[in-house]
Amino acid sequence: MSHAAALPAFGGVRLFTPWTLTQPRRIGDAAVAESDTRVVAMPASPSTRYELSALMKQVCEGDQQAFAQVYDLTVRSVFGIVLHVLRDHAQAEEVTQEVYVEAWQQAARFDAGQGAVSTWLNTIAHRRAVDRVRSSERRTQREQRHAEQIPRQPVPNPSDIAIANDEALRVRAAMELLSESQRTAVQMAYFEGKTQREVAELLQVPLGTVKTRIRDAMQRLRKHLGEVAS
Amino acid sequence: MTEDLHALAYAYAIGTLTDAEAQEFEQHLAECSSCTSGVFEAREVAAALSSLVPAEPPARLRATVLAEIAQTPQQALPSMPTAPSFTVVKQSSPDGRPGRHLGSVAEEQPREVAPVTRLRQRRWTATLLAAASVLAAVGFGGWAYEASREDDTNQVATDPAQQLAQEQRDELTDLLAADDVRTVSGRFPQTDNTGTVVVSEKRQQAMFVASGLPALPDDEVYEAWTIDGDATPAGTFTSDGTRAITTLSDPQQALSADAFAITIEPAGGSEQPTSDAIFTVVLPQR
Repeated sequence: MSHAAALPAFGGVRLFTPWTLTQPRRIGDAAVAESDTRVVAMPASPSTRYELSALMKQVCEGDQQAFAQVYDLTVRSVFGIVLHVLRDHAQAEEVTQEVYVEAWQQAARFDAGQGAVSTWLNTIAHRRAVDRVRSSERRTQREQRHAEQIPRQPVPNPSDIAIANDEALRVRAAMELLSESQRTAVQMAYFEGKTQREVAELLQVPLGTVKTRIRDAMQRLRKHLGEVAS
Repeated sequence: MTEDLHALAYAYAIGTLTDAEAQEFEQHLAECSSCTSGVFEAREVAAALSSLVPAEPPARLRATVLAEIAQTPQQALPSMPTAPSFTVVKQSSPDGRPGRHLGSVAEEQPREVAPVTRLRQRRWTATLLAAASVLAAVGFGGWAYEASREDDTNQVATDPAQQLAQEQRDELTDLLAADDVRTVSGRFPQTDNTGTVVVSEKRQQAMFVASGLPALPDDEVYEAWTIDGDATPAGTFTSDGTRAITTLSDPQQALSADAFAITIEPAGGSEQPTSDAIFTVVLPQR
């Protein structure tokens, strides 16, 4: 099977490759019952970043209201990546809860010198989601489900690009500058939580090739998203 | 080898190494500043990638998270100084009744900071406030309340006691979602569990919640008190041995009082405390 086409899906609901965040995404039964829900990416504007940093100081002093604000400013992104990796609404909720409890407990460990609050939370979220996905029992269940539900490739609709915010648009543009094989490697490694070895096996290419693709892809993204880290 | 390890910074940052590979890389990371900054940069890129897949979580998740963190101690850096706990229940009462031992009493006795003996009003309050200040200075303690999950709420509680417990849990979750909610936690010195007072001025509501409180014999109840110069009864409650939640009878009093305490009283409760406080905490001030 072509993995580029094996797009994440569950519950009969289509999800799209991340860089084609161009169509309404409907996630989970509740959302499906409603009309199309368009999800717009969290702005990671400098002011939000500054605000989050200030809030984290209060959180370190045990301020639960500040923590609630941090939650409000970051949860769509945190829940989004967790859900995307896990593809299971109930598990994504559980893991998101774990992420925020960890963030609360470990607030003092947050170091603004090492990056933005949103990056810190995202790192925790991705790690926890990947840990969950790699637990073999759940993995088996998940893959059995997917085997039954993998849909045909959805066709991206460029006219819907407008729903994404600047940040998402910039990232999406950067993704499009990658080669197809690099994008696939990033998709499988980051968004699906697969190890480099698994990616190599699934794509039937040497491990060294996968390592190179991921490294090159990340370097290119970093170059094109230069301001992200500033 | 070092070359290879440097190249792994991106793979590590996006979580695509196996656990063993990640461990090896972390050892290298500890002594390689260029890889460390490489990892930070790569994490920024990874976080940017996440902006591509935002998703709106269900609204209930917010309340669940906030309920859970309200009951979760924060870890301090460097490690928090050990809380000097105060002894309130070890001495025999003047009426000859033995002191109470709540739950599993550790071999090691809590250090006595402010022994509270007979509850003579003034002295009790003063001592209690002193003890409570110590607790408040130390901050939130450990607590093991499991936030009510969807599974719980979907279950139909048939037992009236269970149903009441469920209602109280729902009420607490709801209160914790108030935008002006304030909480303050303290420790039960004898069991090392934590109790938390939750107040909202807008909702005009105050609740107390604790885990690990032992169930009492039928002829005794837990009684809550607000301390504001004098002790004012704030309602009685029981514990199922794992979790106790109670709504304080006079929220206005809880909002304005200086401190909060729990005693064990004869069934039906008392007008004034007749036993030593097993829990005290300074209440959040407006």
